[in-house]
Amino acid sequence: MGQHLARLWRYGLLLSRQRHVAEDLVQATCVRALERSGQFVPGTRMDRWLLSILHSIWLNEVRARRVRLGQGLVNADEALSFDGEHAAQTHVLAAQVIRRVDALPETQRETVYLAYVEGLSYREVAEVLQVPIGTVMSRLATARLKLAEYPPLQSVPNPTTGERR
Amino acid sequence: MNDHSPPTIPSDEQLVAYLDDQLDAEQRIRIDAAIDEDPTLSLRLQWLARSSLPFQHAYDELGQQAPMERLQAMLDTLPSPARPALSRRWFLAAAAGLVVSSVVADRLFLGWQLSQQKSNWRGLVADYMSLYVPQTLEHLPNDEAAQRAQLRTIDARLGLTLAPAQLALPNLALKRAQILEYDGKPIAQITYLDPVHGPMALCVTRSNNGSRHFAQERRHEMNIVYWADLEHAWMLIGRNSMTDLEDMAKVLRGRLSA
Repeated sequence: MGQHLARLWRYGLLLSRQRHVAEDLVQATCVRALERSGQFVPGTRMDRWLLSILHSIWLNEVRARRVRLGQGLVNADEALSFDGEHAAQTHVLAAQVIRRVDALPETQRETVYLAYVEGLSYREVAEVLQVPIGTVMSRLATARLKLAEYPPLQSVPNPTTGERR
Repeated sequence: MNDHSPPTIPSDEQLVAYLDDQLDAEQRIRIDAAIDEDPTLSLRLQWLARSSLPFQHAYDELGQQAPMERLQAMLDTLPSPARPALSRRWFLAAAAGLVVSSVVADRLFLGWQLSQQKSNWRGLVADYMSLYVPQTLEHLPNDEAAQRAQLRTIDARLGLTLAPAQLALPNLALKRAQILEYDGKPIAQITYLDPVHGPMALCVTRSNNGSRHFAQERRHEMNIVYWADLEHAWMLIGRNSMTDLEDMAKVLRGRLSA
């Protein structure tokens, strides 16, 4: 399980947009995975299984609780992924990609992440998120239309030209 | 994806699936043919392809910022998954039984104690801890799952969210977390066993007397470091030196207020 910690953490960060929540999500996921280790089917991908546990904890426990407490959810503007000290650590291009993905609504964000970052097939994404495959397709199409509207990525922070590909 | 009417124009969903190589051969051929017939479809496909960003690269960079040391340390505190489910359940049941029986005994003791003298909660805890010897704790199983369950009981009564990783202290073994009660007020007692100085405990109760910095006192020849935040009063009690206790208190306070 140790080899999947960083991937679980970044998925937790993508969902919650908060580093401390991401860490808690990883911990809760590990605890749940150990409690349910008997349910893991040998021969299947453990990373997929862990991602689906993290997703379910986020959706049913953490997210639900935060909404109920009236704390709301963190907006992309407040996201800590690239604020302050962390901004310098992230490459300019990478930061642009992450910022654009972070601006998507949660359902599109997680679908994009699982399909394009984790490289899951549509069917696998549907299984992790517990939604029909048609939902995965429409989320990706909607997300891609939004992402397509941005100008091409700039390798320098201040774009001087609007050069096209 | 199951479109059986050839003349229809492919949807954005189908075009995206085409870009993502998620179509079977037959569906691909159909979209290739549609693109050949309709040049605007090719433009649409190019527009959608603008959204193909270096996602993996970006998130690999982000993943390198993961707090791996803390995550790994957290994982190390969890019980091994190799343990058969049956023995795990047995352990939990046994540990729960221990807690129930000791809570009953503790309440009796504290009730009696309260009738004997009017004292603050630290005094009660010190009286109680003075009866502890290493053998009180030695036999307790180091079962992380059971301890987690115990911490959840404390969380529920005291409005905390305690995790074993927050409570871990070097050289000391976390032995048990339990709820005590006097006069209807819950006190959580988290016991450790120090190989040199014997039993030590972190205790907490609700308090709204405001935040208070570390203070020290001695009771029953034990050292106590106590402090408070806005909602809870905390104390660390044991036979360790005052300096050691305060160092540990600082570590714990830092983690518990995070």
